[in-house]
Amino acid sequence: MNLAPAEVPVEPASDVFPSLTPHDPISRNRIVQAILDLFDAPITLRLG
Amino acid sequence: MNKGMTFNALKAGTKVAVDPKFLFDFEAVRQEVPGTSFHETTSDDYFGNIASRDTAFDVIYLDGLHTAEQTIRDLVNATSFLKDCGVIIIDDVFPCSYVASLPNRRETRLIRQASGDTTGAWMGDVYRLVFFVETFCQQFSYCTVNNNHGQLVMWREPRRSVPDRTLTQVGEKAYKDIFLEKDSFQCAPLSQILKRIEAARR
Repeated sequence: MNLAPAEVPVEPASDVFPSLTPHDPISRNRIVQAILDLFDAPITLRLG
Repeated sequence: MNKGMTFNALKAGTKVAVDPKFLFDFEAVRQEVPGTSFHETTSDDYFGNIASRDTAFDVIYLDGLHTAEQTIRDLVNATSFLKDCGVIIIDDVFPCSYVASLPNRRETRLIRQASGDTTGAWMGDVYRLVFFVETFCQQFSYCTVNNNHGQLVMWREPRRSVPDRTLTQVGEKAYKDIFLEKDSFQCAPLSQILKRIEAARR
């Protein structure tokens, strides 16, 4: 009889890719503002 | 746009917002904040009938309907209204769960009810756009911000090569491919992405 293990071992989360619940995530506002700050008096459009 | 907290807090010279239904008093904000305008309509209507041909933006932030088709249409339209040195940010390319990645919102709700899932996040299949950009937008470089819930940043900088992938294959990408093909997302810290954008503008 070939029985599969009840559970698949869980590997530690990778630092390279965002986890489902990222530790200390950067807010979307901080990201957008950081990019806006690359420009002088930027003109910006937001959809949604 | 929910209650406009993200948009209203941003500091910029000119801010334009498009949403089919604003959930806050945008007329009051328009009067209080100079250089701010609101268009209560769909993104298709905005790009097709409202945006002037000579309009050009430095930064365009896409957070519309969370389906790959609509977001790709928004992206293609956005590239026509982006300055040469401009940047496009696309939200929600990284769904927080399989259920949140389903493009059909009704199915998402039904599965949540049946499984007792009380979370409300819905990113849809916007993740497929990443594979579209990687394959078909060679004139743009891009990265996904590390340690974030999934914001893709793209700017004009040609990439030397693109993967050999059909449009059908892009449309057939599944939730598991986010993990199995994570290199396609080109995750990087925000500071590194900012340096790359600045270098491309020189």
